[in-house]
Amino acid sequence: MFALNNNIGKSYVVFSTFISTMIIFLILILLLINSWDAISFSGIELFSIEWAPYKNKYGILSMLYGTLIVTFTALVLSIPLGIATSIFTAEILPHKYRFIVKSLLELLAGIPSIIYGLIGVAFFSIWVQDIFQLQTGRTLLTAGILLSIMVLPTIITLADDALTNIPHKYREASKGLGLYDYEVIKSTLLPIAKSNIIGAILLALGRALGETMAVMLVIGSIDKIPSPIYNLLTSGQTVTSKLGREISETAFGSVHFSALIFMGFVLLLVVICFTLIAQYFSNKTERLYD
Amino acid sequence: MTRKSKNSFFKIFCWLSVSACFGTLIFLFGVIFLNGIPAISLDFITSRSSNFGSEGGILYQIVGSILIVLVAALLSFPLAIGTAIFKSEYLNNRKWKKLSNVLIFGLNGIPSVVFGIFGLILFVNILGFGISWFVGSIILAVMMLPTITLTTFQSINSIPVIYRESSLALGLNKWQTITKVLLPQSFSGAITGLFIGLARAIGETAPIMFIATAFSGVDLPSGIREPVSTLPTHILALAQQATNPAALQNAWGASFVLILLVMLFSTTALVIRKRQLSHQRL
Amino acid sequence: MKNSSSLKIIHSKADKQSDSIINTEGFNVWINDAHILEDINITIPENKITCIVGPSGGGKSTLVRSFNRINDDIEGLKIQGSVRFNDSDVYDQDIDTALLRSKIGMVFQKPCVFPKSISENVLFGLQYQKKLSDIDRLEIVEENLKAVSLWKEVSHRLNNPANSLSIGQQQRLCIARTLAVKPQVILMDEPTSSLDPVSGRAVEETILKLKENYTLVFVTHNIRQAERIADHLVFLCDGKIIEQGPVNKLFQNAENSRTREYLKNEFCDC
Repeated sequence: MFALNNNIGKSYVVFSTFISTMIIFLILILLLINSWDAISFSGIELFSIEWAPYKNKYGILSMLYGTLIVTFTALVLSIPLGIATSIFTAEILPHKYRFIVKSLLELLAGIPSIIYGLIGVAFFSIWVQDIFQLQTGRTLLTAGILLSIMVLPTIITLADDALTNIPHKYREASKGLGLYDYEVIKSTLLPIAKSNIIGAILLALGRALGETMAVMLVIGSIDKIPSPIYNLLTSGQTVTSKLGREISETAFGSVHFSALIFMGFVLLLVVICFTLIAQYFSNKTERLYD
Repeated sequence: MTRKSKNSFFKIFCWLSVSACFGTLIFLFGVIFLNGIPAISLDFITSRSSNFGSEGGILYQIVGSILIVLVAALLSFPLAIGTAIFKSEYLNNRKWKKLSNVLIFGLNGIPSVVFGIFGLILFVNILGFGISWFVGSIILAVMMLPTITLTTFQSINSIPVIYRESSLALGLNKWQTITKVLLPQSFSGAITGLFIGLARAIGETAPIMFIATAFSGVDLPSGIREPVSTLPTHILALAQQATNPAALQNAWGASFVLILLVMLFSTTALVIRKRQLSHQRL
Repeated sequence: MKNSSSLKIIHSKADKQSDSIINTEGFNVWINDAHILEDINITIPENKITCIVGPSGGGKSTLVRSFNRINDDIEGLKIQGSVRFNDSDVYDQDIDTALLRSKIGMVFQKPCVFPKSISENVLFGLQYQKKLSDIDRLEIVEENLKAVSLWKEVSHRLNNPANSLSIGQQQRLCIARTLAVKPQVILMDEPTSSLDPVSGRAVEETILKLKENYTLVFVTHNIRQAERIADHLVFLCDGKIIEQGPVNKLFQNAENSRTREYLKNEFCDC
């Protein structure tokens, strides 16, 4: 009787774990299978620039570029800001305020992305339009700015953790030698926290790559690579935004559908790569604690 | 530049960064509150929407959101607990532990729209469910899985080995030890994860927008194979009519309600976690 | 911009008060309303080894850590009174603490080597000062490692990570690292209590060698150690100075009965 319970229990947990661990494979396989049509139809042309389903052209390069440039912009803005803020919260902020600050950051991280999108539409795109005197505020830059705000809490929280985990003795030893606070941080603390901070940045990168709603509303949805290539003040398109806009209107089973799925599959692979690399870095703490 | 002035510049830069972040935070919340509160009225919350959302209220959206995430929680919770138990009590090999970690928490990093197309392919099309709110719950359940698993695992894992040994020494078998000793103690950890997952799930748009929701003429679903309207997708529809001030105002109202719900779940999680911590100290 | 380098480094002997390099006057320290140090009037003579002894919890560490202001980061810290180093008050508004700490160095109880090589550790305090040529660097490393009798042991593996050394060697490395900055005073907070007796003796010998060029202040709860190497003794109990003076006087002819009791039997009823 008891043995039966034990076995049922065991089956239940094994089953649960099986499902939990296999889902990711299921997703990958399903996406790959559904991309097959497009792959066999267009082959390497999938990586071309022109996306024109009515012409049977399914080049996803513009979308890949859009994703890349928007993510890059987001990181360029959020990394210095985020790390400087985390240095503030870890080293300068008095202890009694830490709880409030951490809670505020969590609050910021909890805002749903659609609300960021709404704020982007109602404010940021209008500001960009006014400041740069453009036809429309729906640009790659707007998306980049919005994304940078969205990934800030991630970078700040993780970098702060990395810094506060460093034992106090290193600060004291370094200060005791006559180094200024800035020098202590630069020569002692940052090198020790380096791996964890890189892990944090990669995590933020992964999130930026996968963000859909906020980007979709402010990017303008034009399937083109801007010219010149660095011109952020034009509309563009990202993988996620394209998927969000078109997939529901595309017939299941068509080559068009398959090409969209292929795009999603590529994105998934990239994100998984970065997530794995991020985990590697986050686990690679310097061996100093004897 | 002298060492001292470099130090000062650096500190100024840090202060500026913090101010920028803080300013952004204030701006975001200010915008949501200042625009949202005027849009709220009892009428707004309790009546259904009409005219693609630019008129009427958001009652069905609120109900839809709550329905879809609660069912998702019901689906996800047992799976997450089972997985956490397995990882903590049955899995001993270090390599397998690492591998399972990667596989489960890899789910966290997957873009939400990818979950959406996964649901679209598997449930809506292959399994023929069609646009169904229940499929939405399934997908959200999958997304909540890593979060709940993690917090439950941390809870169970932090219970000292002595508890297990005492229980086994009294003659209970492994499963009884788990259900009578470990689970009760780690339950609050699991619930914390649940509420964190709920807070995230209720704000999701991309995973459900093309598999579970529709934008117009949606009533409360009367069966499983029917779409539902939720707050995030409603906001999306309204945001796309941003030139219409009535629609925009309703968007702010819906956003405000959504944020309140998110904060409700998050705060509950926080409270539970704090209570658990203070219990532990006793 | 205010002149923040207001620490007087060069002074004539005639100006100084009784050959002391550090002295405090009415110095009090509270940490979160607990009165850790009460009305401290202490004199640290130059170029001598001053030992601060007393039972645990008496405030010895807090006292020396106040000299180089490494206590500044402690939450809830309040001070009153003055700590004078070379005739300037260390707690003055425009004192540059980084500069202060390059003049008053510190060796901690547990050796804390940075996750770098041995020679990088020695040079650590100098990396932001002037640019050094490779030859300069080598000279500095050799000079300071010799001063702590570590040169012979490590000269062939200067690029090895510092944490490959034994604890005793690490502590001597920390001393060498402090010496490289060329301070005037070296504070030591129980420098041998984490070490085995042999390494401890090696460190004591180093301290004796250093007396010639530096002023040393070290905290210890080991009375025999104080007897071995101190020139000047300060007995601190429960945050108050019971007695201070030349070591021979305190051991043989102490004025206060509690001093005699403590130095003989290591017992203090405070």
